[in-house]
Amino acid sequence: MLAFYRKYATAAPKVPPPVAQLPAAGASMKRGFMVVALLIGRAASALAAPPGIETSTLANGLEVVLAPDSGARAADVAVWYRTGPRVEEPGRSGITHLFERLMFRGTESRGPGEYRRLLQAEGGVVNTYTTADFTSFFATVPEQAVDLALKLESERMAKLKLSAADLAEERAAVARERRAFLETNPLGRGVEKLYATAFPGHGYGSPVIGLEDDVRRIALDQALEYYRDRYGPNNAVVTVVGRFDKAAALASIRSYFEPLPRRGAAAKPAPLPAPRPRGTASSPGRFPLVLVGWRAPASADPGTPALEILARVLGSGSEGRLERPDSGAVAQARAAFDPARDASLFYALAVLKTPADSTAAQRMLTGAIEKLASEPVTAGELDRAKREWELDMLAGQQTARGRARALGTALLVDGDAGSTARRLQAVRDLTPVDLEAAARKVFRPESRSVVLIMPAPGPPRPGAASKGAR
Amino acid sequence: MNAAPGPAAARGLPALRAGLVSLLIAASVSGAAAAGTAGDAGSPGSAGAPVAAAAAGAAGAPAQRTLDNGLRIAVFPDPHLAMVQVQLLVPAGVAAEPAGEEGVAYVTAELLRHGTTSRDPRAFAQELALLGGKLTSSVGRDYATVNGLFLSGDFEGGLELLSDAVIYPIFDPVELRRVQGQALRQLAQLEQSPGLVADDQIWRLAFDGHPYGRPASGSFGPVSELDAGRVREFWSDRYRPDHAVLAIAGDVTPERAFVVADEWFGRWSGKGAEPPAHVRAPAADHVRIRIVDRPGSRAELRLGALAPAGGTPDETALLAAGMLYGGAPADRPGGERSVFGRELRTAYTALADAGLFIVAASAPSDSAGAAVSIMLGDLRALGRPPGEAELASVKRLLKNTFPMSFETLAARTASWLAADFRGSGMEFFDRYAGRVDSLAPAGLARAAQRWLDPSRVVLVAVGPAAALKSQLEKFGKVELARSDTALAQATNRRGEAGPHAAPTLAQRARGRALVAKMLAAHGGLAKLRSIKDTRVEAIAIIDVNGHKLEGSLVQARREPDHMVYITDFGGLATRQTLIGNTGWQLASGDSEAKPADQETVGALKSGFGSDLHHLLLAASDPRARVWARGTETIDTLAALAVVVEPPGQSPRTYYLHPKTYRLLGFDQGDSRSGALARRKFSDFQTVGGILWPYHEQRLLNGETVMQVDVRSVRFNTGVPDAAFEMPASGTTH
Repeated sequence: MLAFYRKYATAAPKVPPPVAQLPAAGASMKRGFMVVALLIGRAASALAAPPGIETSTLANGLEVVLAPDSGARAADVAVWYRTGPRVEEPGRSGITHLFERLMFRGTESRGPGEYRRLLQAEGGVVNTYTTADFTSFFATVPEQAVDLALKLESERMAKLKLSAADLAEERAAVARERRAFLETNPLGRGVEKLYATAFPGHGYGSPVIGLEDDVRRIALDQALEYYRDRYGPNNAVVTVVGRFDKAAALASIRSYFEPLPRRGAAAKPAPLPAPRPRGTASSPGRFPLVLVGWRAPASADPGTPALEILARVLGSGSEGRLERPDSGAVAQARAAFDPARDASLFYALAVLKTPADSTAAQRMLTGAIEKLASEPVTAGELDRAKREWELDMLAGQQTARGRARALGTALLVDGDAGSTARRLQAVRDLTPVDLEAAARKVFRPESRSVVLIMPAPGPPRPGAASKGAR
Repeated sequence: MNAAPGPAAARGLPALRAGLVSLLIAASVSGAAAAGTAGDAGSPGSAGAPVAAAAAGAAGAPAQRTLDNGLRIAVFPDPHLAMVQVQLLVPAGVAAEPAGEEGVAYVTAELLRHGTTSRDPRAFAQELALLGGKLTSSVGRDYATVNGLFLSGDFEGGLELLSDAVIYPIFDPVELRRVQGQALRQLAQLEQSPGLVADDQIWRLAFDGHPYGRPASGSFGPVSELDAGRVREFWSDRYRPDHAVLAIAGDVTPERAFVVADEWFGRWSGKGAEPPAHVRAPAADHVRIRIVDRPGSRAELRLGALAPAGGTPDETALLAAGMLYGGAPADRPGGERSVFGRELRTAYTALADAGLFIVAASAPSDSAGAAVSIMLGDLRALGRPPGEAELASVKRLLKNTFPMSFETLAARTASWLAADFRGSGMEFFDRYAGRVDSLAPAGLARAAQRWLDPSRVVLVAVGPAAALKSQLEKFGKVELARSDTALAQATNRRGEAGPHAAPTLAQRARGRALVAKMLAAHGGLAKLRSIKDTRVEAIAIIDVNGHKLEGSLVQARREPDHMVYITDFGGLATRQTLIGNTGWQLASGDSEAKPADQETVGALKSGFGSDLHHLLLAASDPRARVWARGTETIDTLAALAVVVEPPGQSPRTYYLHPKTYRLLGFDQGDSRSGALARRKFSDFQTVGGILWPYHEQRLLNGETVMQVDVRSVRFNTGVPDAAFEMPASGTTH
């Protein structure tokens, strides 16, 4: 999905985009030790892999979520920190993403790269990624390496070792990554500009990787302060999913994490601004792009399943409405829904044949989408989109990593570990009327931002890109 | 079918760790299988019980049944998630392709979804979309698979669609052309990635003459030439039930799966051709090195050693060797074995006839020799018994990663199919842990000595040949491979309308007709054929860093393949001479002439064929592939574009005047630089009955690099042998 261009993972292999972010039944995580049953009608057999998810909170505020599954073939250990662009301070964009790298530089007791080496020697797969709402570090390991993975995660939560040289090296690596992105990914550049226009001044408006000038200016004391404030146990969730011994894992977690003191305080995001109606930018590439986005409710809103399905009605597979655009000006068009904790974005983009076609393309995209607010989709369209969504969702749950990803996203974005099953049921229950109502609520002119990306002969100047993204 | 990872993925080199296991057990299946998998039914209490139990999960050994038509069905019930994965294996991989039809396996598998006798392509796509299902195909060296993923409630509908695609495809010519275009674009993209080119070339070199050496995704010429009849014939031979196996995994009971499979696949009839006979892999007795010339500052390096086929005794030892290569995994800084700052990877692919052990690295081109020394040294080190601790570390890794490779339904079915295809079946999974446990240092060293002998490896380097050749010659005989970069770029630029898209019969006929008119416009074929030598003198202006520099140019050609090419710019004179397959060159200041290297000879040969005389003769060659490609604007004129591809040569696109049919110019990919060269002709004057261009503009990637104003053209003056003789002293004129 297009959301890929929004969230970029770094370090090692790419992580696929989340299956879904889910609506929450409750506002916050329930405290104490409890079992969240996932068995909801048909969803029971669809997602019945773990009989339940056990959650607890340690005295230092660390939330622990265990989802054992004896039929699994691997275990996934992840630490999720409630920090990301959403709560990055102005002028510090990209600092969370930078920490994806810095967290591998070693601790007071481990050398650089040791975390990765030790787990890989056990057959583990190690990676990290950051979204607008959170950052996550994970290792998918054999059962017998769960303890090691937890121990290593606790160490870097407690005593990461940072030097000015490490910071400089990683800043340079990020700058290279940023340059490569700007030079090779006009689509991603377009989505980035759309977010900057739809969320001006808010963390969601900044690229996850950060603006060049901001990243360049991050000093060691600022990085250490950010680590101290944001990477403590009271701002984190530990998940263990898949094949592992629950009691042993909980004992390991208590042993390694419980001694860690609370530190820092929860950061608050900037208030949501009104979207700007228009934005323009340039990017290398042969064809201009038009992107139209509508600000949508937070992921936990009950209306978001309908938006997921509307995006598929419009723009996925060979039968999506945008697959054969009415306008001759458009070479290709797609739509996506990207849910997030404070507010989501529904957007569509069109690749134009010539710059002169931008008005017609914008009209086509806006017309196709806003029409959904006045005409119900057909039963066939709805059925296709629902089945396709469900199959993708289930396919993503086959691996311990996939289940962990869905679980962590549900927790960090929706605050509800059980929302995956609820969302599945909500999607199954959707009717054309529900979709029309959701469209009416979201696809309003005042929520809309339009961005035009014009081809530029060379790579955009970093400075210009920074300005544009602001 | 869908854009499954396909052939490119089949050639990829997954990173160390789990990838190695995946590659072994699912080596010949690309796409889904690359994810690895395998059901395992380890016996309780055996040495490998924990591994086996973890791998087995809910699947274990499949329930099996054989239909009356011979189709074998294997079902792995797993109610975990409400979906079903289906994989149909047919012996229709690259190894089954008739010689000269490289790519037919891929095109056939792709075309299955493009229409059946009861559903046109659009209807098929719509019905698949309505199910929300996924239907893909993948082609490996040993076999092809057709893969479906459906919600369990849609299993019947999904299997019906899949069976329709396999049993009743129509191979519509229009769809064929679409798929050919898609295949050619993929080939073009592959050619642009030095890493993928290296992955492809190492198989070609290691299995030179063996079916495994064929390009996994076909090659430009044969793919372009395929017609619906050839594709149908391949399908008719290979897509038959008697050699096929259908694996079904997921939320379905064996009883239901057998009933549905019988309903939809029971109607499949016919006997397939016998699977390709096992062919012994070519044994190497020396080091072979191939350089694929590519500009750039880095070289992609691949070291390959023929290795045992799947299911043979040394298989596990070679897997362990891959993990041990460069030292024990636990000792590697950052978890990686790296060379010149880049990860060094190993992969062992075990197929039915043979296997290939590959070491992959990337290095600065001026350090390629040093990198190869390290790679060979690491290989040699494997011939010494590892320490007990090292081996223990590798054994742990092998056992830990094994069950982790089987997480998805697709991985489970694919790995079982791979093992079944090579005859090892569940035994492979049942005894895996035992085989790993029984590895001993001496046995591992013996296997490495037998299979990974550094004096019998093949080496591929993709990078700047001029920089690489001298560094690599010390390791063995070096050969230069023809690069397809120019073809790839040309195809990419033009998409389906490119010179490598399959032309229709009408396009071919139109192309020939236009060539006939062009020949007539320039004086006729008889006159052209009567030319035995030419001598052209001209004033040339070249662009040097924005400054125009005027000089002189003399070209003397004599049939066959003799040419002297003399330039003089600002007193810097050069003389290059082509004599058949050799040549020499001399520049101002040189004390003596130097023999031309292979690259220079190639360039001179290309130059020999680029004057009007030879351009016209090449187009008239009945062996050349010629077709019309519509019009293209040349200097505001809508010129007629005709592609001419002489046998064994890169194609050129000729541009003809729409009314006079004069040759206005041509495009040619430059295999050395990967750039597009264009020449434009004007100021035509008649010489000896031939209409000859007296002005020529040469462009590279749209920038003018040289202008040529002809002063004289002479034919059949009798260019003497002495003109081609290498001078004893430094004179260029």
